[in-house]
Amino acid sequence: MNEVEHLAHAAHESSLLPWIILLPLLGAILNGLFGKRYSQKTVSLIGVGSVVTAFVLSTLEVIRLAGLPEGDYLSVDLWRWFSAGELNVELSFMIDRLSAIMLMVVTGVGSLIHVFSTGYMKTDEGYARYFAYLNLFMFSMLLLILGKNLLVLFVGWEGVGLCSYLLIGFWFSDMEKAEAGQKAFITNRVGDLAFLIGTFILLFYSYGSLDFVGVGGAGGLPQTAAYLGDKAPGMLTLVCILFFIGATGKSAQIPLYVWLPDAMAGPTPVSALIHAATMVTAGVYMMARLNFMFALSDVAMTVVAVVGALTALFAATIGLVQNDIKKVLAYSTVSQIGFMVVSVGVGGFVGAIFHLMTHAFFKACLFLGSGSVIHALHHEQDIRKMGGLKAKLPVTRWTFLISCLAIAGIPFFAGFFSKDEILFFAATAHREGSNPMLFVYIVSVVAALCTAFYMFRLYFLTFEGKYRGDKHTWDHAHEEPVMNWPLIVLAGLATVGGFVGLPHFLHAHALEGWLEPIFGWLYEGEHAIFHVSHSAGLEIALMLGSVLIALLGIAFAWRLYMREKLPEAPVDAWWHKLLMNKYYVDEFYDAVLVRPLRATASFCHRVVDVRIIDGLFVRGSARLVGAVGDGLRFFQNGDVQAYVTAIVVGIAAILVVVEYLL
Amino acid sequence: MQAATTTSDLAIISPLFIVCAMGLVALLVAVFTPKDSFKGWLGYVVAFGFALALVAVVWLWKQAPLTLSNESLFFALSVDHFGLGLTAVILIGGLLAALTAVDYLPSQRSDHGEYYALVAFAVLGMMAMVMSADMLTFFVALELMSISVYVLAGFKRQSAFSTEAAMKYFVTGSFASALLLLGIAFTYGATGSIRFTEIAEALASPQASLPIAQFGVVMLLAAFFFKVAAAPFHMWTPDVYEGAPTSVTALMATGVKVAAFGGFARMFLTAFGDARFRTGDLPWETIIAIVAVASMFAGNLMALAQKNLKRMLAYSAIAHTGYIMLAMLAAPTSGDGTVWLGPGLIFYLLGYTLASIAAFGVASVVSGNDVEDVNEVAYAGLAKRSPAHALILAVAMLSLLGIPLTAGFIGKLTIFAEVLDGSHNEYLWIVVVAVINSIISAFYYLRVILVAYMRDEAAERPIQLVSSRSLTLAAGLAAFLTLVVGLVPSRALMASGKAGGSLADSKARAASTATVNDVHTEADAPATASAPKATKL
Repeated sequence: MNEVEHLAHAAHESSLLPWIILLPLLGAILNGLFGKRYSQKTVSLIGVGSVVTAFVLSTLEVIRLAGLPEGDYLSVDLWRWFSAGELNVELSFMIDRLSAIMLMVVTGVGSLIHVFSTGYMKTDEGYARYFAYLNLFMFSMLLLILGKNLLVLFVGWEGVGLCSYLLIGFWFSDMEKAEAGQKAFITNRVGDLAFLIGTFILLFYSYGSLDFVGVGGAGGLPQTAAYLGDKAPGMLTLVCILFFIGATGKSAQIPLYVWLPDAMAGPTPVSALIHAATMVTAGVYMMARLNFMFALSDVAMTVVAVVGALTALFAATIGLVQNDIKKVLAYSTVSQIGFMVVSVGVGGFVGAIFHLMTHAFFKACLFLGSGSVIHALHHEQDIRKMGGLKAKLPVTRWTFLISCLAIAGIPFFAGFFSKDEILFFAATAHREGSNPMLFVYIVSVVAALCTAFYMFRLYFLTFEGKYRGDKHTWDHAHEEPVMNWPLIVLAGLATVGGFVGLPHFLHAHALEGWLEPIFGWLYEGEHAIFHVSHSAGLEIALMLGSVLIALLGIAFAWRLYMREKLPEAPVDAWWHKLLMNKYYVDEFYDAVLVRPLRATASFCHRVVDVRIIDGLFVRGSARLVGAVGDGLRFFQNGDVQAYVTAIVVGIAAILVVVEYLL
Repeated sequence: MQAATTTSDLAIISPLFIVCAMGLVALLVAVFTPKDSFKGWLGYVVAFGFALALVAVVWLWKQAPLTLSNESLFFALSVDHFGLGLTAVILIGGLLAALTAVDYLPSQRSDHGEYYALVAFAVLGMMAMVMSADMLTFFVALELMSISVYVLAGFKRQSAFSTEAAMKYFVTGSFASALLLLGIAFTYGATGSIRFTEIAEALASPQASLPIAQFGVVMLLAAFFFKVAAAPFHMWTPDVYEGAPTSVTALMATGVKVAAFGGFARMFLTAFGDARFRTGDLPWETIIAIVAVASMFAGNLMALAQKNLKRMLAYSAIAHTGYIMLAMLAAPTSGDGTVWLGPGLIFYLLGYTLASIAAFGVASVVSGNDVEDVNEVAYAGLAKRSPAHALILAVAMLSLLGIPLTAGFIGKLTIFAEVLDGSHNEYLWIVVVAVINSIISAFYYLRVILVAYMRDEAAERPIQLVSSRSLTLAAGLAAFLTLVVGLVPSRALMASGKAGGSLADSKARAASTATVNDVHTEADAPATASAPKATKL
């Protein structure tokens, strides 16, 4: 028996838990089926009410969880989903300390964005449909984070993918938007396939269940992982890489990130909820959930860290030159998730979850802020036609500025603490007998520099300087009160949210303490895998370094866009063109993957489908049946005697078979 | 268990009583109400009766297996989990089918109260059929069902189409009944008994006249193949399914099929279930395998060419007969020759019943204003006209096709797994054939969805909807249950397994009654543990 006792904790029954998940589903069903008949008020009440109630219930449950002995979790087994051989898969959910954080973020930020949406979508014809999708998304996301085993997680994983597709293509009459939805869906399929293959391999090696926690330390995935790590490390690495490919799809990492920038075609609150705060971080959550597996594979972790760092830098450089307000934020999201992935890769699971949380606050705030701007300017998204909006949109401006400071990493805003934790881990965390991955650290620092620059470029071009659009739009620009409240709450969280994870040398890292039952074993005790520097001096030095980097980025942006007032890009050079065209990755994929696939599909359609299947099988069989039918016309022409004759012939045939052939 | 011993005979056969009483009520009311008044409410009455009977069945299920203390009833009816489980499926099908008729019949100008009486009597026959434990009860039950359905098939009297269907069904059906009687007579001649369990014992003794029994079995098989519409005994099916009013077709595709499969499965597995006979002297299993393959191909290939939804579903029914027959191949035999069934047969019948009701329900919905020919024009563009009905249709088609998350998928999976396990992969080839057939069937099932969702409504012939809450409710409920059973199959699978397994008990139970008053039940006893507790008769 492999030793996984250090991952064993007791379960407590929870009766509220199913309701947290069911309420959004109920909302989705009501609004989806009958929404057209309801008034807008009723739709809002159902849509927002179900999520806010889920948030309140979640809060109650998390408070209860906090009162339990350290490491225990709440769970509920609804029923046995299916069983095959020795494998039992239950439809069961749990709230442990890891999913509790996700639960609060998802229902909390989700509630705010639902409220914001009531203003943003006010005039849209598909109001009820929108809320039905949004609630369905919440339901799927809750399945994903509360699932007690890998299969329930996977159902949620597919569900959020579907909802993402539906919401990106929400305005499906616009062909471009519908295509963006398809791109997201198809790109995610690639990752999901890898996820599924990984799951099948785990099924093969499983000890009777795919639960994230074993009963008394035995069974479940921890034991499977321990077994694989012991007996088949190559297989373990393969499984980890497969799951990571799944994560690159959902969490938009190289090479599958291409769908996320296009996903901005959806309504902006959707971008805030799904494509910034919650769904896209699912890959990070999944890897953190499977920490007991990833931590065992050195190779897989290195791959994760390198891919994350490259994504962070790659996306940040593209973000430097984009002119669509949402596109900048989209690339920023890809880049920021890259930071989280780096953190997972270097063993800083706490940092990954920490940054996931703070990022949810400030990025949701930024997206909602951009939504407020777009709403005010009648769907204008080009920042070259903005400027000076601080006069018209004061609340949006201040909240946006706060979030920019947070994401840039200015001290005491939320992003400062979480990003520093990641950089600190990247610089110092290492396994027994190996060195920290300095390459990853350096790449991440450069990405951080770019982040500070593009965020403040965005801020200056949007809110400072002079307005560059047409006068009519300017005169009508105004804020919606209902949309301001979520902004203020999120900006508040982006300001103070970081204090749950104070630097290590202060020994007051609340988040680390909270997650200690889940991740603690990685750093301390006999099973410890990662070693982190405990030098306060080093930590402070790194911190000062990253503050300087952030200030440098901001100063650079200020010089270019405030002092020299450049609305356009500074130079017309080859690298600028390269960045504007996003490194031609879409074109590359188009040439290497899409076109050959299309050609194959077209071939299949023209030759296999039309000629062979339709021609030979369908029409051929119809013709054959027709021909046979012609011959048997005297049977199937409705002549009862013929039918009876067939029966008699059948009996005779049976008798012949029975008597002579058997 | 204490309660079981005190359950009176009347209580044990209460489901039959309730259904019979409802039928009589409907008949009387039909006589005394004015001719032109709306009779649909009788549909609700009969449906209520079915629901009540269903409750009784559930109540009895908890105490089963039950034995009747009246001697003649004791040998005639076997109220075990098998009978009760199939009765439940029949009642669900009957209930939903009755609801589909409420507003559909007026739309076809055939709103007569006798309809519901006949439905009740047909269902009564079906229930008795799956519970019958001897040949004569079986025959009477089958005829009660058949004659009621003959009349129902021709219920739309003014339509030549419908009357022709009834006539054909009647003539060929009578022929099949004659074959059945012939089979019974020969079996009696060979064994001297009409009771299933005694036939099995007689056949096991060396004096048994196997050639005569063999001929009898072939005749019984022919009747069975006719009733379940297996090729080449299927030719009546498309004509009758198409010609009969759609609500009747729904009942034929569900109740009649369930009853025929249930009744004959019990007969073959109890009376001729011994492993020696199944592939040896009385090779009914081999015959069924061949006929199953023929049915799958005949059904699926012919269905490809059909434009009429009802006719397509008729051929699809023939194909499904082929799949379901595989479940009978899978019946495992224990060392002492007792045979039982896995969950596959009953579960599949449940899933098929639900999907069929949903499909025929939608076929009824689109035959408003007396549309008789339910071809593609009748439902092209349904998704825009009535999204709910299009969704129901899509769910039904996906379940019939066997797409995951539907009952049809789990049913197929269970049967295929059973066949492979039960035959130790000897029947691998037949599973391969079945899978190939499932793939073929995708073409015509998906085409229905394609037509309903992608085509535009024909401008010159708009969709004629029957606006009916009961019809939508019945079809919607069926589609919903299809998904529920597909998503959470474990309970239904467990119940089906229990029902199938209870067949093994019947032999032991029959042997265990020296005096019929000394009844006992073994609700919790495992199949093999129920040893005889008293001397043989």
